[in-house]
Parts: sequence; structure tokens; C-alpha cells
Amino acid sequence: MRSDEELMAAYVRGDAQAFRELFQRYAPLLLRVLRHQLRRTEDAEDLVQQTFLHLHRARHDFRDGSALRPWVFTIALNLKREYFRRAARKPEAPLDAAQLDSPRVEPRGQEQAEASDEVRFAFSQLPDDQREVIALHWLAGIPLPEVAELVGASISAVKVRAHRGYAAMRRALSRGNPGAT
Amino acid sequence: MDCIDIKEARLRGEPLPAEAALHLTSCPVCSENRLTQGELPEPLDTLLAGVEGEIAREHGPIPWLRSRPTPVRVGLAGGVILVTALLTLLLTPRTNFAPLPVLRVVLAVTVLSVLVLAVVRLGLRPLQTPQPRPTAVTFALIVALGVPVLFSVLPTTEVARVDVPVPGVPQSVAIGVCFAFGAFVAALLVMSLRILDRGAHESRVSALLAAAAGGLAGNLALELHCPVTNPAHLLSGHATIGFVFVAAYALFHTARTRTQESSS
Repeated sequence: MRSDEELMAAYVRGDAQAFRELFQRYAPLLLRVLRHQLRRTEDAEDLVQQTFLHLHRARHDFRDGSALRPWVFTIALNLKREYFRRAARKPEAPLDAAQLDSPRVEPRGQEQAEASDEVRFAFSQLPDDQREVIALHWLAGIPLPEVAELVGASISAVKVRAHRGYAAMRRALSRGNPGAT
Repeated sequence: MDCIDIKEARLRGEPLPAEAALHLTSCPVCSENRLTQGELPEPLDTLLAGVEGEIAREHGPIPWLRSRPTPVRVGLAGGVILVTALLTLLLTPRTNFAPLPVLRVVLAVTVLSVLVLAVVRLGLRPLQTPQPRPTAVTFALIVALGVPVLFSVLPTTEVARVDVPVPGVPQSVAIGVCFAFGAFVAALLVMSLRILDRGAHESRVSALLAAAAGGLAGNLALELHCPVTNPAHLLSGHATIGFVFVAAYALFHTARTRTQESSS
């Protein structure tokens, strides 16, 4: 299987199939991360498309030896910030769990469905900086040092945000979620 | 062992201890993680088709220019600045270089050139690199707008003092002519930057930086063209160009935002 970087290099040379493979690898991750930070799924999907459009526009900046994942996520995070700035909206989380997107999977049981709602609600209550770090670390599986590069903070600052965010989620979940249905 | 420990252990490829298995079955966070990991496939085909459609429309000289490597795009913008400066020197050179202190001219041209290139570089930064901090953008804007003001009020020597470019021409006319000349050069650079900017219609920061760079380019051309050293002329006919361009973009942005809000 070709690496991300090999696929990108192939795309720069004109291999359209390589772009599709990159899309299949990264679009689900980006969608997962963005959907947990934006109010509407359609906005998250739009930003995913924009990310790949910008990846296409920036393809000739790609150099051998560069890692692709930081590229893709930096583009997505920059677009997300610009989205909030352009809309003059603070990235506030929904106040009610009912406003959140419903899970896209069939719940495997009532208990897990409730757990999913509670987790989403707890996640939505985190401060922006903690939510961003946790979305990248937890939902996208990106190591904290790389998260630090993506959000433009020191590794220690990112570890603190992750620690506080996870702790806040655990506290919220252990208290129970009054907003969950 | 908590979620972070498990995540880190997985990322390091280490085997998970029994304690982790217990956590995975009891922790709703990790349970949710497993749920979201299982969300695929999404309506990815539709999204991919949309992206491919957008890419298919990216044909022609402007998309081609936008997709050039960043050093090339910055070089092209620098070329626009260089060409306008050279044309100014060739076609409408300043008439009073000789009595001016050489150091003053060299300093002004060098500072304006370096600044305009720095602002251009900041504005054309590729989206795959971290965005400049708001403080850095604010600082760049303040410097880009402030330096022409500073040069306007610097004291000049009596021997080099010129109040109007041509004797008998009213100062208001001289100011208007200089402003129009500088604004023309500024507009050329702003248009070039909008063409070269990959996110031209999406980024307020890039647009503001382009406006500020235009103001600097206009002042650079005027430094090579206008013989006037009168501070009032320099302040109102030269240094205002950057302010006017930045203010014009801010007004445009506000109007566009209101239109978008009213239509949504």
C-alpha cells in the first residue's frame, strides 16, 4: 500500500486516482473532527471539500520528505477558523444535546446510545482550545506532539489542554448529563 | 490507566494491559470512540464528486497562477512591484534626487521594499502552514500603514525642500495627482495579489494584508516619482493610500457580511 506522501507525489504528477485514495483516507477523519466542532453537519462537509480543494491548489508546494497529514489538518483547521471568523461567530458549542448531530450509526443498545449522547454533550461543553486538541487527539488519533504543531502551541500546553479536557469530560460523564435525552 | 494513556499506548503500538481492557468496556468516552470509528462509510462519494467538480472547474490562467509554488507566487508579486518601480524611474522619475540626502533616499526605498515584500509574503502564505497570529497581522498592518506616515514627517534639509512638483500648481491638485498615481500602483499590486492568493475570496486577513501591501507599493513608487518634501503633501497624498485601501476593504467586507446575513 502506498504511503500518503507517495500518493500525494503521484497526484502532483497527475495521478487522479491517488487523489481519490487520499480523499478516502482523510475525509472520514476530517469529517469526524469537524463535525464535533461545528453546529451543522453540512458545514463540516463543506469544510472537508474546501480542505481537499485547497490541497489540490497547494499541490505544487508539496516537497519530497514532507509529511502529508500535518498539511491536511492544518488546512482544515485554518479553514475552520476562517469559517468562524467570516461568519463572525464564536465557535460555541450547542447548549442542548438535542441540537447535536445524531450519531450516524445504529446504536448497538440503549446504554451505548445514551453513552454516546452523554459523551457528545460533555465534549460540546469543553472550551474551544480543549475541544480542538481533544478532537485531533481522540477522534483523529493524532499524537500530541503533532497536535501541538497543528494548533501552534507548545507540547506542554497541549498536554495540559488534553489533560484538562479529558478530566472535564470524565467529571461531566460521572455527574451524568442533564441535557441528554 | 485512562483514555489518554490508552490512546498514547495505541499510537506507540504498545500492547494494552488488562487494566486497559477493563477501562475500554466501562468508559463511555472510549465507547463513543469505538462508535465514531465505526461510522464509516459516510456519504463520501457525494463529497468527493463535489471536490472533483470544483477541481475540474479550476482551468485557465488564474487557477494555474494560484497553483504555482509559493516562492514563485511571491516572486511574481515581487516582479509586479519591481516592474512598477522601474517603470516609474524610467518614465516619470523624481526630479530632485540630487539635492536629497542619499542616505534618506536609500533608507526610504529599502525600508518600503523590504516591508512590502514581507507583507506580500505574509499575505500569500500557503494554507497548509499555521495561520499568523492576530497580533502578528495587526503588527504588520500597523507597520505597513505607519511607516509611510513616519517618512512623511521626517525632517528634510532646506536645500531639498520642495512644496509643489511644478511651481504654480495648487497643493490640492498636487496631492490629488500623487494620490491617484500611488493608488493606481497600489491597485495593480492588490489585483495581482488577489489573483495569486489561493483563498482570495475566503480570507479577510489576506485581503487586509493585500490592501496594506498595495499602500506600501504606492508609496514606494511615489518615493521614486514625487519630488515634494512638504510633510502636509506627503501625509495627505502619499501616506493615506494604505489607509484608504484598508478602509475600503473593511467597508466592502462589512457590506458583504450584511448581505450574506440578510440573505441567509
